[in-house]
Amino acid sequence: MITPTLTVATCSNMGQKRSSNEDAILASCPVFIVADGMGGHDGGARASSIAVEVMSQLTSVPRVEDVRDALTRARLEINELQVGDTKRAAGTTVSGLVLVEQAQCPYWLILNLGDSRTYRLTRSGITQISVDHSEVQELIDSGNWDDVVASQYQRRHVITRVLGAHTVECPDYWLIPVQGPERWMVCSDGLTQELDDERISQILSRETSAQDAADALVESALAAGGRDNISVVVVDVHDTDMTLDEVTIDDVGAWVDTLEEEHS
Amino acid sequence: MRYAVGTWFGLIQANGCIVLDPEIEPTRIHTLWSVLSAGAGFSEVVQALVAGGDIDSLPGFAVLVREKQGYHIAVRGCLAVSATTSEGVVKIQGKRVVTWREEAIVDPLTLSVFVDDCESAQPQWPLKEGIVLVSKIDVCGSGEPMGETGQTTLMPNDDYLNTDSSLDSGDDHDGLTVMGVDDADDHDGMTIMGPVAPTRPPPVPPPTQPMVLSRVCPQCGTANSTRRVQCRACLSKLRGDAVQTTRPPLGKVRLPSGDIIPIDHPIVIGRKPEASRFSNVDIPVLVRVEDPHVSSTHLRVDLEDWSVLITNLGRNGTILRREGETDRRFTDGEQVIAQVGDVYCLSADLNLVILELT
Repeated sequence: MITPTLTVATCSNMGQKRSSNEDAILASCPVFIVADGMGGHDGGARASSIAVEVMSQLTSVPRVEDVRDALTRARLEINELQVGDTKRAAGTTVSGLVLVEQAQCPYWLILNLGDSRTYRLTRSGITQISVDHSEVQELIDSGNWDDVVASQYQRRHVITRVLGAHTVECPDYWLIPVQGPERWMVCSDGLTQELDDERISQILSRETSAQDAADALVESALAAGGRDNISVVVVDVHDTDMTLDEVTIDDVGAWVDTLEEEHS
Repeated sequence: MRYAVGTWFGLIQANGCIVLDPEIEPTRIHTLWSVLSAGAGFSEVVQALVAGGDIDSLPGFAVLVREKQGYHIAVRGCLAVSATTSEGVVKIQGKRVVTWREEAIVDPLTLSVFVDDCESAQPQWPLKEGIVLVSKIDVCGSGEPMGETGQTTLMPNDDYLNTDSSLDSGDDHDGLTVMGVDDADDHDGMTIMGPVAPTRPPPVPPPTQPMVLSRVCPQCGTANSTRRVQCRACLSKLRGDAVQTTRPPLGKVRLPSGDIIPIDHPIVIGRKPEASRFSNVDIPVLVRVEDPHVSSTHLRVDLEDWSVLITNLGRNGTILRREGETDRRFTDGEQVIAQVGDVYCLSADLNLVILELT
């Protein structure tokens, strides 16, 4: 497998209204994740750092199953935390990328639990790959709500899946081939509640350096209110050649005809 | 539309749906699928259903075809349709009729079709079009907006809406993540986890491996499909209620490379296959092929209960060669229930063969 060349940048800020930062970041190949902790006392901060610590044990090129098992180990550790507040058990969101190998090619395994997000930037703008585990998202999915109503929903910060909090984790995954040049951005909801996708897209497209992009996103979110901890990871992929050519042929009328003739 | 998994065939298209007896011959399903896909009206669909047979040999069926003013519906056998309109609830039972019951429902607010005893099932899987095994289909309403002909107005309670713009200045809703425990006193800016969304189902602990409802053989302990009456391993008669078991491999396929693998995971085939939104229990196997006629993500093999489903995702479609049938090309997310011997041609040179099914 050809290992892609990456440039990575991170930026995290407590925000304007909070007295601690419960977010944690891991941005070291092969793992690029953001964890946003929750829970009473310091439970949130401890949960997110456990998630990052356990995931950092993944080295070289892990398999999807290794990532799954690491999340399970992290959950078991988080659920053992004594935070002295049963009502607000410690837990954490986790979202981001892990570089894995599939069919001898480098792939991004995108993972998500909660409402931190993973975006991919392409020429046509950004695409949110992860799907939030939140009440709002579930209501939108059920077809009854549009984005406008959702943005006014008071419980829009309520998440429905998490790592820890005495639940069994149920992460979503995606597998996408690494195809440089491309840019990925992982963030906690402190960013996305201040900046809409269009604004995020503008900043990510405008800034050529990964670090400038991460810094500019956090600065803009702070300027917009910075109500929560804000954490951002930007990953740029440089190598383009992933052993597969880019051939696409739209019209295969030819082979279809042959096939039908052969068979008739 | 949304459906709940069951044993009856559900043929779903934008213009309507057909539910068919599990015993129906596959050729008839194909015929009806083509008729429905071609955008046929109600009478054409019913004609295709009854064509050539005498009345006694008709299978149980339900036909719901969308028309300008609502839906035209026919039901026969142990199926029923339930609709709410502005005038109240309408129920159409297919039981104890010689031919079928027919009804036109104007602008239904909700419309469901279900197998007897499955009225309370909760359809959860959304589907735009395809053939699936169902116990119930919500055609509109119950979370399915119906578009221009009917308006489902399922808005959340006002309690949940920020109507007074107090959101940012208020006590606890200061814009921070919560995973909801009790709503009461907890929103001080921490992330919390929460139940109690207006439409959220109760949390179910996720299994660590795929589970399926099975009939377990009293003689040899083999898990069998709930549609079997005889054990697939030792042919003993199956007795007793179905139970949840871990799912065995559902068969074997030959990949384009010639390799033969068990169907125990979803399989995604293409030049640069992508897999979207899977969970711990359905980690897919990605199979790369090098052929310019094949799309980057071309074909997916899924396991649903005891069925193996093949979905075309390729731009150029996939040709299905099936014993006794003419070749058929399926396109755009179209889904087929696999049968033994099926050959799925991704291009002139590459195909996937279903060698065995459990």
